Amino acid sequence: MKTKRIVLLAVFCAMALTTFMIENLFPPLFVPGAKMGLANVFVLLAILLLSPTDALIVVIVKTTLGCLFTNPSAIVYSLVAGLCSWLVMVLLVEFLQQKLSVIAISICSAVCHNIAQLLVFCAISQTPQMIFYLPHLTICGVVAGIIVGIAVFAVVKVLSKNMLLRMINYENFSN
Amino acid sequence: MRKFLIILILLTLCFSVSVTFAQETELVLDFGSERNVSQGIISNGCARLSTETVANGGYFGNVMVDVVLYSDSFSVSNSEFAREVLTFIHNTLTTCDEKCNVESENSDVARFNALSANKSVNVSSFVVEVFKIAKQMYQATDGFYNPCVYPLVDLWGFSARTYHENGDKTYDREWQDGGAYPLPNNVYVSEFSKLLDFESIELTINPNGDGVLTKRCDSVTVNGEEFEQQLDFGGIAKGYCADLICNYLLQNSISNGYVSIGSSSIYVLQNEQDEDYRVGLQHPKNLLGDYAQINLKNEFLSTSGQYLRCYSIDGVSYSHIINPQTGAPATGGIISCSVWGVSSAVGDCLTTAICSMNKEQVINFVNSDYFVENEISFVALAEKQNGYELITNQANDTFFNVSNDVVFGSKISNGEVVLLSTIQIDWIALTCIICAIVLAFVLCFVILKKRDKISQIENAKKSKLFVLNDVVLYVIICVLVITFLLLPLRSQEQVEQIFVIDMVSGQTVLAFDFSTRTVETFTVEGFSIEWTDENNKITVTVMRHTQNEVYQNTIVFERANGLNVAKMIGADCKGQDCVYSFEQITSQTGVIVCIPNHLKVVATQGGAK
Repeated sequence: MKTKRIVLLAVFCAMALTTFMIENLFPPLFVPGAKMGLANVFVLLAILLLSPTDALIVVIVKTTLGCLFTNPSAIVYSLVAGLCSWLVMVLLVEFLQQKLSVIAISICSAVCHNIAQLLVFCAISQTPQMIFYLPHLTICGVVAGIIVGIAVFAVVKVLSKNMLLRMINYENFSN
Repeated sequence: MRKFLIILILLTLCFSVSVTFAQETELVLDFGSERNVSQGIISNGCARLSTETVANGGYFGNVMVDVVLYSDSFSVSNSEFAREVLTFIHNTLTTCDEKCNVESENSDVARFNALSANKSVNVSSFVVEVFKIAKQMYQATDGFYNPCVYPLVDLWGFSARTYHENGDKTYDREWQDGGAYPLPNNVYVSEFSKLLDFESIELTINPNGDGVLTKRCDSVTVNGEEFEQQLDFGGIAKGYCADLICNYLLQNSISNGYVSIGSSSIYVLQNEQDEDYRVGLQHPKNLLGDYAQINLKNEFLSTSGQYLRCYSIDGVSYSHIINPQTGAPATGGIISCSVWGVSSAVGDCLTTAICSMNKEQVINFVNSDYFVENEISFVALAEKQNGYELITNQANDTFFNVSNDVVFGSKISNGEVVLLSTIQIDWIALTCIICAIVLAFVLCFVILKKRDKISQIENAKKSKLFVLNDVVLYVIICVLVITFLLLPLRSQEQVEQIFVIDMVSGQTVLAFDFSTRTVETFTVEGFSIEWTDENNKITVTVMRHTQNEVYQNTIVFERANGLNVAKMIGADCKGQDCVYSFEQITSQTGVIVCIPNHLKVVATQGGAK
């Protein structure tokens, strides 16, 4: 792995982790386990600008370290949900990028994240009663997706092409 | 020295089968004028036994033997029969003493101990039988029961010799004030550990039942002094006597009563009303009380305890049960162990072996084929930070009147005994996740095509906020949300009962019934519960104890607006999801979960393991 790649990834991970921790400090919404999922901004950015592998690394680092420091008992659920949302994002970006907007992609992945988290939680703790929070969580996912989508869109549009190319080590391309 | 006399007497109370009697060295055949069999029994035999002793005596120098038997043939007019029975018992015990007592010079065992390597000695059939059982148990317990630990027992100061101040060995030390015996020189410990080869002893059996024992283990030399391998059947001989006595009693159709040899090997028939005896298992600290009681009938019960013959130095406790693998007193934390369901000799060996193991080894042993196939029942008391935990392969309701400082530390899962305190990592979940991650990497490298970085950036720059195709996706999601909303509707039934369950172990910690307004708490490792009932509200605080901290969850049960309501109003967890995010439970499908404290509050117990 080239040094620049490592450093770049590290910065992405650090930013994702920080947003994760800050987000955790917010009081929870009216739905259990609902979070704004701002850290997914960096995951989606990584998929769009870097490669899926890098995004996977960001997901794993963000979830594992973030959960270790805040809520160790939720690692299993968060990891599974993170992987599900990552998969959805990768597939959508890979095959349907031209045909879909950023917001749609992020909404899909957020919804998948929440559904997966809930299902895994129900399965492991054997609490079938939790399924009844599905509609609430889906709606929360939609809202979260919109927020993340707008954020990613903003980053991608505002940063100039030159800067982005320099970021991934292609120098001196004129726009 | 008075302390050791006290230890001596307490040694015989491994079981609190309490009978008062005088300490004698001779068998006293005491019938009394009238056999008042129900004297002293409290309410249908379900309490401690306190009946008229038929006979008692002291054997093996310091072991109390109690015999209480009931038979219609024991009438005063037919005292011959009773005398026969008691004489048989007396003879069995004295034979055992003669043959197996390590201290008396002419016993078979002592003569064997005095041998040097490759020499033989004739032994009686009694010793032959005991030897065979010992060998079988040595193999079954993987060497944890080892009769050759006697030199180590003597070295650490636990043989009978130290109580009688007989003789002097070079490694003897002075007993200190406070009852401690200074630690032995490590050289002795390691050298004596070389004498532990029980397999090397050869037994040749003669046709008439006698035998010849040949010692093959070489002696060891420490500081110019030679020490031979030495056997001690102290753990097993008493049990074998109980076996013999049991056979005799059954042959003579005596089916009521009990025989207790030192309280550590007892054989229990039925009580006079032909019912089970309620036997108490002695508490390690409160020696006059029990840590639990069980019902027994026609069973042998063997017990070993580390709390009777022990001393402590610098806060570490050394007991008379030596772990053959380390050569030192057992430190596995198993304070007491009782076994029933097998013959007494076997049971004695098993309890000695289990007391020298640690918890993991005990679990492996009791789940092994030997234990399971022979349907052996056992209970072991292990030390915990504050109190004790009970490890057993019997159902929890086998035990009555469990003492307050004892919690159940094991459960039966898939036919195996499993410790509750082990962190049960969900291996399935973990392997699934790791597989998923591996698959994800594979996907990245293999399936997805190499990206052209420049065009990728260009594509990213071209991304839009809204594309017509989006609508398709949004419609799909709306449909999804509507399906979820229409899922099996929340039950409209009111909640009648509330269960608070620990998600890690699956056990119910608390059960509350709205109609009777009763709170029922269960003993679960690491949890304690307090509750108050005021203003028509019942406030329950569930406290989870970890090594350093206590985490609280406060739940309120009340009736509001005609509905039964349960709500979590306070929690010590990060995030406070359980307090603010979850709605109160008003219907059968309500749930409140506190993930950091792994507790869930449900209305139906269908979700509990």
